[in-house]
Amino acid sequence: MAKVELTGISKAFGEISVLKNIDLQIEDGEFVTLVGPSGCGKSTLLRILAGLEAADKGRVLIDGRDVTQIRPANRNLAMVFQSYALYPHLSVAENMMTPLRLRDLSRAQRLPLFGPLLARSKMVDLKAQVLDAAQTLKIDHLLARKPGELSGGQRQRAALGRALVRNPVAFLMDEPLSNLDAALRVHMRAELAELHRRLATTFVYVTHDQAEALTMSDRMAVMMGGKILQIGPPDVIYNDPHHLEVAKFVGSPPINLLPGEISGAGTVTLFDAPIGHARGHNGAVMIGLRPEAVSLAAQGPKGRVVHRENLGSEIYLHVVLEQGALEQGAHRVVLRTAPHTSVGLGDSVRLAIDAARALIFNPDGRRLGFTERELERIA
Amino acid sequence: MPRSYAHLWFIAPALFLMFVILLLPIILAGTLSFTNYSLGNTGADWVGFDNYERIFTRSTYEKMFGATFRYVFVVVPMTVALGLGAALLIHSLTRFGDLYKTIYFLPVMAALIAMAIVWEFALHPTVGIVNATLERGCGTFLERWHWYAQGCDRTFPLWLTDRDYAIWTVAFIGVWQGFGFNMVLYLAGLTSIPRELYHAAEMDGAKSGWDRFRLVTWPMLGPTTVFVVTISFIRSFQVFDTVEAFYPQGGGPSKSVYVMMFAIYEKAIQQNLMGIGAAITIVFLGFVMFLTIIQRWLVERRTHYV
Repeated sequence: MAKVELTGISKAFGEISVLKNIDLQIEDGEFVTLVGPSGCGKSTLLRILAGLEAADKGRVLIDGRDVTQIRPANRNLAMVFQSYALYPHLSVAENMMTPLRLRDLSRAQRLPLFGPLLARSKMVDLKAQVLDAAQTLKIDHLLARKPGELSGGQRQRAALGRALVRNPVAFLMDEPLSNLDAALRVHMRAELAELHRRLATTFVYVTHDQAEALTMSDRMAVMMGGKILQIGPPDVIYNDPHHLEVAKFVGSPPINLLPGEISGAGTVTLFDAPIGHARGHNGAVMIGLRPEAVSLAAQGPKGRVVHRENLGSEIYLHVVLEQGALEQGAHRVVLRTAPHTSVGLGDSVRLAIDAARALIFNPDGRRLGFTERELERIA
Repeated sequence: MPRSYAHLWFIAPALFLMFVILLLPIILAGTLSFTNYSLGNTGADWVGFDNYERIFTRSTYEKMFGATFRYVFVVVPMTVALGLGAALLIHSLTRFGDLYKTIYFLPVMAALIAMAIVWEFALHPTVGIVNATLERGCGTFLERWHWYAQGCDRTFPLWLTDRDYAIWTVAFIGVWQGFGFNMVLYLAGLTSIPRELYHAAEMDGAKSGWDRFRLVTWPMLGPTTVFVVTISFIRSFQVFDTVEAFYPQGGGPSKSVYVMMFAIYEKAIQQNLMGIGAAITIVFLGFVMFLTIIQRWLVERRTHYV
C-alpha cells in the first residue's frame, strides 16, 4: 500500500540516453502500466523503481520516503520477472517460502536442520501463508513440484505467488505475460486485474502489448524514446491521444493516417472536402481516423476493398482509396463494420468519415484540437 | 521390405575403435592380473588371485593406498574450494579479471616436470627460498607458535625428504597446480547463471553475499561442481609426474609418497612384473569407475533441474 513517486529520473548506458528526465506519480492502490515499443526505457524505469538499476539523476519516493539510495531488498517491493526467475532447485512451495524465510526469520532460524526446530511455530505460520497465497492463485496442487515440471502458465503463477506471499508495498511486473500463449495471456489479463482489485495494492506493470495496457490499467503511461509521451486512463489515451506516436501505438488495428490540410481560415480539409475547423497550424497535417470512425456510406471518398478480416464479432475492411492514388501513392484505410456485411473483396465502396472523431496532428506530431463550435456545426 | 544392415556399417568404426583402444586393453590387463607374466617371457603361469591378495595384504601396498588417499583427499577438496573461491573473486571483479585468470591458470599450462624442478629448488632445506623466508621470521612474534619455535631452534622441515611432510608437500604442489583448472570450469559455470535470479534473490530479501550464494550461486553451480569434483578425483588419482620427478628412486621417504600410478610404473615397467602391475591397474580402474558411477548418479538425481 503505497504511493510511488519518480521525479526527474535520467539514465544513460554509456553514450545512449535511455531515460530523459521522467516524472511519474503513482497513487496508492493504482494499477499503472508502462507501455511502449521495445527499447523505450520502460523496463529500465521499472528496474530503477525496484532499485535493481541506479538512476543517473532523479529520486524515487515510496510513501514520501526517499528510497533512491536504499537497496532493493529494503524497499519492500515485489517483482515478477519476464523469465519468472524461479529458483530451479526449489519446489514451488520453497520458492514461495524464500521471501518469507529471508525476511521473517533470523539468520539462526534459517540454518538447515536446526532452523526449523528453533522457529517451529513461525514456520507453521509461514507455511500457512504460502498455502493461502497458493490457494488464491489456484496452484496449491503444484506446491511440491519443481519449476522444471511446470508449464509456462503454471510457472507464471508460481512467480506471481512468490511475489504476493508477503505483503509488499507495491507489485512490479516486467512483461509477465509475454512468454505465454495468446489464449492464456487473455485469460491472465482478466485474472491479474481481478487480483489487483482484491489486493488493492499498487501495481506497476510493464508491457509492450498495448492490449494488456488498455485492458488492465487504471492509468497507462505511453513511453517512447526515453520519455513519457502521455499518461492517463486507457480510454483517454485511446480516444484523445496528444501525440501522433501515441495514436499510432495504441489501438489494433492501428489508426488510419491520411494527409489533410488546414487553410488560412482554419478549415481542415481531407481530400479537398472540409471536415472541420482547427487552430494553431496552417498547411499540411495528418488526420488520424480510428477504424470505428470510418463507415460505409452512399457518398464520400471512393475506394476498393482489398482485404477482409473476419473476427467473428466484427469485420475489418481494408480499403484502398482512389483519391490521392495518382499523386502520393494509394492510401489504405481500415474500417470496422458489423458482421454479415455483404461487401466482398474487390467491391467498390464509398466511405463516410466521422469528423467528430477525427484526430488532427501537425507535422511534428502534436495534436491540434477541433474548435468546439465547428464540431457542432458539422453535426 | 528387406531388412537393411546399413546401420551396422555406420556404428562399426566407432565400435571397432572402442573395442581396440578401450575394451581390449582392459580385458588384457584383467587377464594379465591373474598371471605372473613378465615382458619378454614366452609364457606365464596362472596365479589366480595371488596378485590381488598381495595388494590387499602387503605393507608396501598399504602404504600405496595411504599415500594415494592422503593425496586425493587433500587435493580434491582444496582444488575445488580454491577453484570456486578464485572464480567467485574473479567473477566479482570489473577490471583485471583476465590478468588474474592468466596468473591462476599458468601452473596448469606449465610442464609439471619443469615446475617440479623449480619446487625442488624452492623447497631445498638450505638454499631454498621457502626455508630461508621462514628463518627470517625467527625472533618475531611467530615464535610463540610452538612448531615455528622448534623450526628456529633446530631446522625447518626438509619438506620433500621428511616422511612426515613429503606427501603433504607433494599434495600442496598438486593443489597449486590444479586449482586453476577448476577455477576456469567454475568461471564458465558462473557466467551461465541468469542474472535475473540474483535480482529475484535481492527482491526476495537476500541481503548478504552468503544468502545469495546459498540461494542462487551454489545450487546453480551444482552440475559444474559434480563435474569439477569428478575430474579432480580422477586427476589426483592419476598423479604421477611430480612423484616421479621428486623421487625417481621409488616412492619418497619410507615410501610415504608411493601413489598408485607410480606403483604401477615401478612394478610393471621398472621391475617388469606385469602381473602385479596389471592388478594395481585394475584396482585403480575400479576406483575411477566407482567415482564415475557416483557422479552419474548424483547428476541424474540432484543437480539437473529441468
